[in-house]
Amino acid sequence: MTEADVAALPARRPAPWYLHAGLHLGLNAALVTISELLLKKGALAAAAAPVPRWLSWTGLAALGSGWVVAGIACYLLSFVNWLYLLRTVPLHIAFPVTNLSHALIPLAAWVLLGERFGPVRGAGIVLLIVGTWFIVRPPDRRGGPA
Amino acid sequence: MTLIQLGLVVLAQVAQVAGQILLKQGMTRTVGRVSRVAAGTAMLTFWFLAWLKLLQDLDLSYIYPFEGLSLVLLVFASKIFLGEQMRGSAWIGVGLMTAGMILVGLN
Repeated sequence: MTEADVAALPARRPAPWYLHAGLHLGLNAALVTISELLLKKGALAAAAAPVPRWLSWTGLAALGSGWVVAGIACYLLSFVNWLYLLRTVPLHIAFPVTNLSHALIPLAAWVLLGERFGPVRGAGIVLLIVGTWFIVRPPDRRGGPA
Repeated sequence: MTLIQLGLVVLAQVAQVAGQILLKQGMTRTVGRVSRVAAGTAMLTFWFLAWLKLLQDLDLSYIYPFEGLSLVLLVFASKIFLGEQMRGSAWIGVGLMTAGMILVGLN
């Protein structure tokens, strides 16, 4: 490319802080965690709304609960946020980073929903998180596939 | 976990990964964007309805780790359908995650 070509390129301004990919990755983990908590709360409170039999494999009966509606709202926000992340971050990084929720959700279920579990489930969750790290850790400096 | 619940978990996670792949292709292409995003959204809707049912029947801290299945499937799918290259260590991750989910499932 000649100098004239370079000068003709649109100037790359740094993105404003609220579009920072790291911020949106964090926001996604938070929204996913909050939405799962709200959905679980709603599923527990689910009024037995009549659901046609062919849909009985779904959790449609829980849709009447305000908790579930709030959970869906949070989920939709996380979905819009996710579409933005898909445009800006490679999928094999964006997807696993949002898996921070694998630590946040059991923790929140313990603290906020009073769920109790033993060391076996705890160890399984730790293995999952370590496994995630093996998949998502950044590429080494020497190059090579990410 | 019953066999039916296990089947629902697996189906839901397959739908989730298929949905993610379709969205990724939809958001990074100009041709066929709308149909891919629509199909991806339909897949994620199925996943969501199945998920609500599982949440009704099981602890959140029990069922949530099985979301990890989608990452294991995603490693295979992004290699096959998106042509992304995986390092050898990604496969160690797949093994560890699978072991983790078995432990949670035994619980």
